[in-house]
Amino acid sequence: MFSKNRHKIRSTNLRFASAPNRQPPVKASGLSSTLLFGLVLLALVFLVLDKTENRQLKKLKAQALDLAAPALDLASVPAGYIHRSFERAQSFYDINRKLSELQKENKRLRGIEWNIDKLKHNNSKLKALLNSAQESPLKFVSGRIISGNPGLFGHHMLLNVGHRNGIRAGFAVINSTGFIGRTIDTGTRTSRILLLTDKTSRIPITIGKQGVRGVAIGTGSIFPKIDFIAKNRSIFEGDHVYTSGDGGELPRGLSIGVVKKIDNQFHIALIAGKQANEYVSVLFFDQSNLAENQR
Amino acid sequence: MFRYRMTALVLPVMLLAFLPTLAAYQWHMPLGDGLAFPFLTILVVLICALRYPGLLPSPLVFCSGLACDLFTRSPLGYWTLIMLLTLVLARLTVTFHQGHGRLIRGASTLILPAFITLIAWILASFYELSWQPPRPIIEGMLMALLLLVVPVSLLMGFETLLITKKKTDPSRMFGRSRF
Repeated sequence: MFSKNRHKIRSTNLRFASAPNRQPPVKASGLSSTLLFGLVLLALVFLVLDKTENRQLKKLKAQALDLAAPALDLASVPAGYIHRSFERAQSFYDINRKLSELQKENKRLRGIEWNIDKLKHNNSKLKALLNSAQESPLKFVSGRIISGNPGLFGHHMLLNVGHRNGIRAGFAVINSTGFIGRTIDTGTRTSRILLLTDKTSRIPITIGKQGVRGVAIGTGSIFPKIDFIAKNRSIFEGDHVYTSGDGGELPRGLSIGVVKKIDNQFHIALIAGKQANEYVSVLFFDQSNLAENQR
Repeated sequence: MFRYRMTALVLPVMLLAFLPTLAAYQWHMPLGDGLAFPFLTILVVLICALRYPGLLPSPLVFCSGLACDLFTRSPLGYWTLIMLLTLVLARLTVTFHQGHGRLIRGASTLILPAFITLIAWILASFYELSWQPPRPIIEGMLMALLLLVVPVSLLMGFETLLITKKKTDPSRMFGRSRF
């Protein structure tokens, strides 16, 4: 008996996708089919509610993300390590080119350094003459990106700080180089950031030295486009782009990028585009915050 | 039978929990970045449902889909619906799949991912109320098919281990599913 079974095991095809002598599959029970059908309907209902931006569903999602945040936070550590290793490996191959770029930039910056000091000095003199009020520095809180993946439906990131840190929807988010997006949903421990590159992103901007007003519109690619510029104003490739602060939603003067022409249309080459976003800061900019700072 | 079933469920459950977590991060893949891991989870569901009919309970697949939706910040229900429809597809075709030889089974196993890609594209277009570019979805599925080697190897190894330990054909282990 045992030797027969052993022969059976040896003759059984252990390779994965083949088992010609298997038992015929068992049909699913009625309960199984009903449950599956019910779950399909439930998933469809969730999809429709999500599209209609149901508030209760949004709250549930935020709460679920809050619950999952510690696990995501923990799992992001090896993911971040792997990401940094790849970046280091990549930069190793680019090292000569990057070195020459850095040397050129260093030379250029040294050239304007004395000019900046002179401008600072003149600026402070003029402010004193005008008796202008001092701008209070914005409060901010820094956090780590625990989930950041450009998906099919949007360019979002998840941050490990939320309500309990004072964050609310609409706050500007910056990294070490510039503005990257703003918070759209906040839970107790997490916040969702809508990036500049997302199709639904619309940011009022100022372009160049002449302060041309426009809107940066996300396209789903790494170059948001510039639109709604007055017909009698001109912008040029290489002009710097900043947040304009129009509408009172975002602070003025946050660096976004430079103008780049692609297919006869003006886009923005984001200054924070290629930078890895592991640690970011959320700026507390709203009317109540400004009033508090003035006291 | 119940003990065999529980043992056999261990690796599929781990895969269905682990893969949506991987989907939360950016891996800078050359193709289908952001979509490869959700599609990989779907392919694991397909393989398990075809190979071990009656093993995967549908609530488990539902929860895995919800996790995918939450972690990838996709619309809630999108990946869940695709996973459940994959399970339905697998249950409908399992008789055909297991009643034929290796070549036909291999061919049908390639056609099913193509069909799932089509479902994903139609559903995305339905959600956005406009035709979406199919390229990112196709790239995501292609990348997932390349990565499928890893979970398939794990499942093969696990199956061999179970057969060696339990001295029986895996298809005899699972019996009738209540779910």
